[in-house]
Amino acid sequence: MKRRIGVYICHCGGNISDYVDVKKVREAVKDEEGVFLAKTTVFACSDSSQKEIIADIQENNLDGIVVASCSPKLHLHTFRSVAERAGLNPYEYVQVNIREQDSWAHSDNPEKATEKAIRLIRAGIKRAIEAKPLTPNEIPVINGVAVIGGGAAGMRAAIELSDTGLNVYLIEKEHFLGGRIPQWGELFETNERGEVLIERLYKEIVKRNNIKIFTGAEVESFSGCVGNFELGVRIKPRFVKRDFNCKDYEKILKECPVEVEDEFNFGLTKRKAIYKSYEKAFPEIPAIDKENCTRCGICEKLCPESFDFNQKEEKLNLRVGAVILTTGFSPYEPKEGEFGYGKFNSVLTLQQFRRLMELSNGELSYNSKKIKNIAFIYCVGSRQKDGENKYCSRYCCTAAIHTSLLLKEKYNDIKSYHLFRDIRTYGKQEILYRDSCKNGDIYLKFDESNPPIVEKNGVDVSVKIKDILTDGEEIEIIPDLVVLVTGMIPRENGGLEKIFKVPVGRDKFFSEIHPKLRPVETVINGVYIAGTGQGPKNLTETILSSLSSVAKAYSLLSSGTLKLEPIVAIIDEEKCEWCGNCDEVCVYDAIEKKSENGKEVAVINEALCKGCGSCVPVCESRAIEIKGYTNKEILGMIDGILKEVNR
Amino acid sequence: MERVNPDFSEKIKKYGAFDISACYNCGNCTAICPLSTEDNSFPRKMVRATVLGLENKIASSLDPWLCYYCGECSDTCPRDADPGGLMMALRRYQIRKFSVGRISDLFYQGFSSFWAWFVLTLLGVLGIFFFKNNPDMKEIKPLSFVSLNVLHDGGIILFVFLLVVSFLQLLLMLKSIKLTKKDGIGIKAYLNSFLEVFFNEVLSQNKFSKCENKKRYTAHLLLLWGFIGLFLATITVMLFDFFFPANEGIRIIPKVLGLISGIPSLYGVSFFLWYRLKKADKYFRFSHHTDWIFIILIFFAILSGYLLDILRWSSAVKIYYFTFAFHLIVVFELILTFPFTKFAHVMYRPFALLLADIKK
Ligand code: SF4
Ligand code: SF4
Ligand code: SF4
Ligand code: SF4
Repeated sequence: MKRRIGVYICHCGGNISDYVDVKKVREAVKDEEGVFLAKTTVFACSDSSQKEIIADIQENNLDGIVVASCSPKLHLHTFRSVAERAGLNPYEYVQVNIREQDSWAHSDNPEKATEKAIRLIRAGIKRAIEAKPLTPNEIPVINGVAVIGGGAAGMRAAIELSDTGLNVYLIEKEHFLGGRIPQWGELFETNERGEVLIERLYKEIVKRNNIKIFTGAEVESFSGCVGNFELGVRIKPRFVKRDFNCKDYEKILKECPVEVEDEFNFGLTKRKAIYKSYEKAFPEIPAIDKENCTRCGICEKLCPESFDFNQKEEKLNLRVGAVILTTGFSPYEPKEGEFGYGKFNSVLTLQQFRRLMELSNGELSYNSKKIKNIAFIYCVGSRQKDGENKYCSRYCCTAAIHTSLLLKEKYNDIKSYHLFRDIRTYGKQEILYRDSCKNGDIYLKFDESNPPIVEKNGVDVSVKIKDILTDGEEIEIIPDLVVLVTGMIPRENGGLEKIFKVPVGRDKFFSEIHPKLRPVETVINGVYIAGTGQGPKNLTETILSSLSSVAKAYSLLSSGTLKLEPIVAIIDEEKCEWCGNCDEVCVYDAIEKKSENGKEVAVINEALCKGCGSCVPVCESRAIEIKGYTNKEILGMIDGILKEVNR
Repeated sequence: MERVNPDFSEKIKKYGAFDISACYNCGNCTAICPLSTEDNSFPRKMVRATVLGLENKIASSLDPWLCYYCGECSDTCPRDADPGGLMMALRRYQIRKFSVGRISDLFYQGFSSFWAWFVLTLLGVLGIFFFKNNPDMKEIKPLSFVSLNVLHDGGIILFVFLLVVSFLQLLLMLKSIKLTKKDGIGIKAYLNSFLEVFFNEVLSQNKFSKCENKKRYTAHLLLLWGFIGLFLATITVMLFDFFFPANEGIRIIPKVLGLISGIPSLYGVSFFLWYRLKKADKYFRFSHHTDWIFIILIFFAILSGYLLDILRWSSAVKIYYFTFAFHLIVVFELILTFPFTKFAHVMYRPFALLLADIKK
């Protein structure tokens, strides 16, 4: 049957036509086999042109179109929809890129550019001739989302997902929810306390019966494909019953013989083997730390009804349609001796200092010394030229400045010195910076190559800085406490990046597909990232990203089914001999071996296949093709390109 | 190496109404200040030294004297830190710092200042009672009220005292500025710089003239010239009395000089008084009590001087002597406190300009 293909050559204003002689191109392609009409157009993507193309298709019964214009990245979907609106199958449309790949690249040689355009369009026409209509596969999806990490980002996401009607599994590695936020005390701008915010989120969560919380739970395995994932989860025993109701809890706390470093207070205090991360931690029942408990039995003796030492590690499988990773951050731990950390008593990290503030009432003292002068050293563990953490941790400048404002408010007679590299109190946070200056806080600036020196000075420490703002002069401060303003590193998560195959950047944070346009999606379809596990953020930004990951998950799962891109690999079972070559090269694990009519062949999981094409060339039996890029299409395109162009 | 001293900026705060801790080191003040050069970031260097409390740096800086408070830095400062106001405050601080025996302290602390002026006035009044003769009540004869000898000897004593104290204080300034050998100290350098400073700065107030506000500049210039005229008039009266006691006619010269010089002085001082009262301009938003006392004393000294000249032609004998006594007391106070109050800028500023010129 003779084909009726319409070809449109776009000027793109002058972006194309200034270098490519579009008239000549039209002349050269209009009589190609299968071409019914060929036109030039000033802006193919404009409304009027779209209408014209639709009219052409309908009036002339065109059975395929080729638009030679910009990159398909820009307008593939525009013209696919034009085809669709005119009654064609969208895959009967072929886009030829003569802008990025031609006119812009060869603006120095219009003649050759014109020739190249002709060849590319001929290739496009050949492809259009061979193109087959394709229809997206629709698969049902599971109504359920696993949120991994029960900090602020995860909790917020859970609530919002639940409100969209999706079932939520909130999986937290620790025995308590809340993550880092309750450790912080007052948060800037509202001065609300972290644990109060967490309490609000928790109360919302328990109101909803489609959220299931798992604490002490870690993901071990992950399989399946977008819309139909399977997670293997391992849950540590808590040894405390759900209906924990023990009047002697206080007494148990006293008598439990095991004391370990309290990670909630960053080692400033000790806790027992039975503990709550903080008094009002959620869930409200305590937990027994399996690793450190000696099974002495004191607790059980006092409240036999509340404990159950027979609890075993549990394993369960969850089936979900999407996953959100909200694994959070840990503060950077300075190296031994870094700015005197670990060497001098009076050197703490900002996070430890915030705990110290929380733990002290009335007067602020450390090691029984009253604190009057504090030197904050900024960018510790961030923005390292030679170290691993090249990034700015974003929140620490503001956090340190906010801390100094709180100090002024609470103790008044405390003097803060800020030894900074640059102050990055972007946005509204600038106001905190101004207020701190007005309070009389003193700012001194150093360069990374000339960091402040923390030394012993009698009983105290002295901090010496070559202050850039005072002509590089060396200035000395004798503080009672040195606070290292440490940045963020991704929180230890038991290797989730390997389990989920979600790539991490050089900075070890999860990486998104595109930092601006697709900030919460990962290369694994259906797996989203949010919060500080993706990179440093303050709480506002964390919640923003958490909510946008919810929006993505919801739009994926809301209709109950999923349309899959039809451009995937297809196996010719006759030819396939199962050599396994394709399986080896497929990074998306989309190929499986199956026995079909007594013969072992490769089968494509269409939900996982990205149509990348890696498997095609390795198949010696030529059993694999990619729909939309079949061998016929590709060979046709080569013919089109090679055909002589008359000058 | 210097140690940070946050208490210092608290101390300086008492000398002015600036908000220097708000400074975030943007450097706009330096960019706009006409006095700023590549190696002297004016006035930010002083701002920074104040914030950190680097007292040595401030005590050894000439900058506060070079600034005319044109206020452009303060206008440009995005944080409203008022660096210009700080420079004025640092002047006040340095006046105290350089004063022998810390006498200036008396005049710069609100409370003691009140008592100092009270005691001085009392001394003046007692002095008048003690030294006054029985004046001629029929005809106005100034010298019958206080004898020439008393005026003459008193004047000389006062003068010697001022000379010694001022000299000592300038030495103190010189010492804390720390001129180094390489600054080319030598008679010739001094002389050159002296001429340069005297004509280009003192007489014409060149730097001041660069300020945007010309009214303030004119008033200051007129006040200065008027003062020089009055000073010369006083000197000539004394000299004539000494050398030509009998020659009445020659006295017309200082008389006329005095009358003429009084006019610009009166204009100048009234301008400052009025502007400060009305807070009419950004420069006058803040007035330290030492500013007030200085202006008020000058105002009354000149006003009463004029009044004397007018009354001389009248027959209001009592009023005349009364005014005369008043004039003497005010002038006595003004002159006696010269090295310790704002008045001292008359010697510090030219001297600082001189030193700056030599340093350069
Ligand atoms: S936010 Fe501030 S302290 Fe933190 S890394 Fe960035 S510049 Fe440094
Ligand atoms: S096209 Fe790519 S993703 Fe699909 S099966 Fe082949 S190698 Fe795997
Ligand atoms: S007031 Fe004028 S001269 Fe003084 S520091 Fe500011 S800009 Fe410079
Ligand atoms: S303009 Fe204001 S904020 Fe900027 S450096 Fe000068 S005093 Fe500081």
